[in-house]
Amino acid sequence: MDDRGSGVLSTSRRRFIGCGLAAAAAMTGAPGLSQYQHAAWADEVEGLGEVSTSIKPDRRILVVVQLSGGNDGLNTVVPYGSREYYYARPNLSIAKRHVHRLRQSEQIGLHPELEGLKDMMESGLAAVVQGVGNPKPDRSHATSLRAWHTASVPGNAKGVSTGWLGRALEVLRQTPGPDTADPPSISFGGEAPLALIGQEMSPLVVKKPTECVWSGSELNDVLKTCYEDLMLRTVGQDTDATKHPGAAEYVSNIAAEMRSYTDRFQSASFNDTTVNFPGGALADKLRTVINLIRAGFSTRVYYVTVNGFDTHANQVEAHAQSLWHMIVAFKAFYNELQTSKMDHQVLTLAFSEFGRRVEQNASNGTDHGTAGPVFLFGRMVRPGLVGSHPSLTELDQGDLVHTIDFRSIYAAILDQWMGIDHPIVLGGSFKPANIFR
Amino acid sequence: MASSLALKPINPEQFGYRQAAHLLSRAGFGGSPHEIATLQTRGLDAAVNTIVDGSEEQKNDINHDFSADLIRPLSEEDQAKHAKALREGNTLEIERADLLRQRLRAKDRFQMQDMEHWWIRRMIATASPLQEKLTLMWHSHFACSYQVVQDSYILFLQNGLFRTHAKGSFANLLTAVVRDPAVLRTLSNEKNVKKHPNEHMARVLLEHYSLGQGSFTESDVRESARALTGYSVHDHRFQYRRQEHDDAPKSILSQRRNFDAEKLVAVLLQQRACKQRVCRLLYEQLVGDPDSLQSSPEAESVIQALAVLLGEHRYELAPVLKTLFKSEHFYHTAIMGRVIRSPVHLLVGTARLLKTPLREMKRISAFLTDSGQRLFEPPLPTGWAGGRHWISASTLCARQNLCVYLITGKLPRNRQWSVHEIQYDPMPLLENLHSRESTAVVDHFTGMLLNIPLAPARRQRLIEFLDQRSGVTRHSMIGLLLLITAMPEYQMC
Repeated sequence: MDDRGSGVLSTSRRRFIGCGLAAAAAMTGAPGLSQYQHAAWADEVEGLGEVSTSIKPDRRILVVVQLSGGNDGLNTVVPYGSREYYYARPNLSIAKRHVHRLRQSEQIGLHPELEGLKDMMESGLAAVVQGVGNPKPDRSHATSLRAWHTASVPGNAKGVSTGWLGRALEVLRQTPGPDTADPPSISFGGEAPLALIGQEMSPLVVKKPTECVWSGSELNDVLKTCYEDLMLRTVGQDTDATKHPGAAEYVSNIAAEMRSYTDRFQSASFNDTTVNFPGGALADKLRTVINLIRAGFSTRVYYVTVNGFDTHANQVEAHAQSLWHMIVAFKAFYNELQTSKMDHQVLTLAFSEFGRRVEQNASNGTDHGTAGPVFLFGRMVRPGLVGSHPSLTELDQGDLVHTIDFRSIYAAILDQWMGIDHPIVLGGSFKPANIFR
Repeated sequence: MASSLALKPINPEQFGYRQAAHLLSRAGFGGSPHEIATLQTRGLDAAVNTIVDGSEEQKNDINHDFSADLIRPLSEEDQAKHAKALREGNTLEIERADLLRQRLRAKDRFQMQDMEHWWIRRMIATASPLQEKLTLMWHSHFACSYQVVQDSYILFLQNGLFRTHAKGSFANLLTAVVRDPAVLRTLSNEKNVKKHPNEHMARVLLEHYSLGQGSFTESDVRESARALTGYSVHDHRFQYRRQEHDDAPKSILSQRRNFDAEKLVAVLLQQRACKQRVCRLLYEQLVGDPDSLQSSPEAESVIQALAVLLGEHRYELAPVLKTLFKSEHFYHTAIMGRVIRSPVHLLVGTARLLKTPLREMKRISAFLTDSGQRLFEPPLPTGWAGGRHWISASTLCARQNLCVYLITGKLPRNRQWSVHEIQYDPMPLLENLHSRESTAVVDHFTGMLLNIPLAPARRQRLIEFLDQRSGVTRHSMIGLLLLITAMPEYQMC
C-alpha cells in the first residue's frame, strides 16, 4: 500500500468516522498506518532513533501508574468528530469547542483539563495509545486488573500467580550485571501489586520511605542494637516450617528488607525539587520516585496506584478533577526529570483496567466498559496519537471493540526498553506496538 | 463420609494449654495465661461452647448513643423555604442554609471519629471477643465506607446489625443486608430504578457477598439488578419505592419468577456456591490465610464439609463454628500460629494482654490507618484481603510503632516525649513468676506473647539484652516488651 504522502492523511482521517471493524483490524496489525499519523510530526521531533540506545539498559527505569477504577476513555480522548458520541451522551459529552484539538487529527481531541497532556505531546514527551483492550473483556475490576497484571486474558488470569514485571525482572536478574542490593521494584501504597510479583521476587512496598523508623530505636542504644539484630536475622526453622513455608518467613523477610533499606532511605538527600510540585497523592509519589533515583537506587521499576476513576455517578466534576490531578503530576514529574537530564531515562506507562460504556447511565455517569487509552511518557516515546480510535458504530453489546491488544504495548516495552524477548515473559508472541522512536 | 473425616473432632485429651491458647487467639483476640489455663481446665466441649455461646457477664460491653440528628433530609417546611429562596434569588438565605449544612457535615465527621474510637474501646473491653471479631469480619465482607455513605448514623446502625447477627443465621443477615441503608447507598442502589437499572449492587451481591465468581452469568447480574430496583433509603431507614420497582418476571439462576430482593436472596441461599462462600470466608478469618489455602488440599475438603454442615443447619453459624473449633484440623500444627493477624487484632490483643493504659484514641486510630485497617473505611467492594496483604515495609513499621505507643506513649520522632510519660508498669505481669533470672523472664514473656516457637539464637539474643541491662527492672522489662512486640513472630496468631 504505497500511499505515503500528505494526501493520504486526509483519507485516513475520514476512515475514523464510522470505522468498520475490518478497517480497524487492518490498522491494528499495520504499524505502517500509525506511522502515517506521525508523519506530520516525525520531522519536527528531535533526536530520532538515537534516544533509546543512548541509555544503558540497566539505567533505564519504568514507572507504572495504575489509574484504578476504569478511566472513561471516551471523555479523555474525545472523538468529537463522531455523531454517535454525542447521541450516546447527551449530558456527559464534551462539546467540540471545549476539546483541546490535536494537530494531527480533526476527529480526536483531549478533555478540557488535559491541556498539559497536549503540551507534553507537542514537546515530544507524551504519547496516547488509543483503543487498548483485550480479546475477552471483563467488566469486573478484580478480573480485569488481574489480566493486566499477569498479561493474560481475563478468565485465564486466575491460574496465573505471577505478574509480567515480576517475571521480567527475574529474567533480568539472571543476566550478568553489577550486583545490587537495591530492590528491583518499589511500589507505593498499601500492597504489592500482582504485576510485580515473580516466582520468588516481590516488590518493596512503602507508603512514605522516610517514615519507616522504629520509634523504640530512639530510647537507648542497647535497645536499638538488639532490635536491629532481631530484624536482620531470619526466623528460626522448626521441624514443620519447611513443610509449610509460610507467613512467618514472609513477615521476617519483609522485616529484614525494611531494616536494610531504612538507612538508605534516611540518608537519601530529600532535597526540595527545583520544579514546583502540585499537591496530591500521585504528585507526592512521583516526587519520591525522583528522590530515590537521585539517591542512587538502582531500582528498575516503580509502581504507583491512583484512585478515583470509577465514575458511576455524577461523572463530570469527578472525572475532570481526576484527570487534572493526573496530568499536573506528570507534567511536574517530567519537568523535574528534564532539569536533571533524566527524561530520556525514565519511561512512564499509565493505564486503567478498562474504559467505560459508550452510553451514559441514568446517574450522569458511566458503567464499566472495555477498551480505553493508555498513556506513555518520556523522551524515548514516539509522541502523539498512536493507533486508531475504536469504532463508535460497530459496538459489542454497547461497548467499544479494542483496536490494539494491551500485550502489544507490553511487548514493545519488554523488547525495546528492557531488552528482554517478550515471548519469554508474555507466554506468547505479540506484534510490538510502535511506541518508541 | 468424607466430610465427617475432614471435620473429625480432636481427642479431648489433646486439648492442652497450647490448644486453649490457640482457640482464644483465633476465636477472639488472645488470652492471658490465667484465661488460657481456666479455659483448658473446662475441657474441650465446655470450652468451645463457652466461647461460641458467650457467657453471662456480657453486660459490661461499652455502649454509646450517637446522634441520629446530624444528617437528616430537609423537612417539608425547610424545603419550601429553600425553594422560595432560590426563586427569589435570596442569597443570604441560601448561604445560611449552605453554612448550616456544612456545619452539620463537619459534626458528622467528628461523630464518625467518635464511633471509630467507641468500637476500638469496646473491642478492648469486651467479654464476647468472638462476637466482636465476627462483627469486624462482616464489616469487611459487606464493605461500606464513610467516604461514600457520608452518614455516620447509618453506619452505626449497620454496625449493630452485624453484631446482632454476628454468629447467628447468615440467611437472616443476608436478608437484612439487602435492605441495609449503608449497603444500598454504597452500592448505588438508590439509583437503581425500573427505567434505568443500575447493576452495581447486583454484581457485588452475586460476585462477592453470596456466590463468588464462576457461579453466575452476566444475565443473572442484569436480572438481579431488576429485582433490586426500588430498594432505597430515606432518613436513615430503608424505603421501598413501589413505582420504581420492576415487578415483571425475571430469570435468575435458572428460575423464572417475579423476583424482588427477598426472593432473590432466597434463591441465592439455595445455591451450594453460597454455602461454600460463607464457609470459605469463615475459614479465611478463623483458620488459615487466603494465601495458604492455595497450598493446602485439606483446607478445601474442610471448607466443603463445613458447607454441607451449614446447609444441614440452615445457615445457622453457631453449630458450624462449634464443629470447627472442636476439629482436629483446627489444632493441626500447620494451622496454629500461621496466620498474620490483622492490625485490629494486634492492637486489641496487645492492649488486653499487656494491660497497657488507654492512650489517645486519635493516635491509635492513625496507627490503624497506617497499618492498613481504618475502621469504617474498608476497601470497596471486597473489604480487607487479609493475610500477607497486611504486611509491607510501611505497615510493619506502623504495627511496631503502634505497640511502642501503647507501651510507652512515645510517638515516632517525638522529641518532646520523656520517660516519665510511660505511665505503665509491666511488673504485675511477672506476678506468678518467682525467678528473676533473665532466662526465666524471657521465657515467661515469649511464652505469653508469641504463638510460634522461638528459635534458640533469637531467644538467646533477648537474654543477652536483659543481661546487658543488668537484669530485671521496670525499664528493662519495658525494653523487653518493646523488642518482643517488634518481632516478626509477634505478628502471627
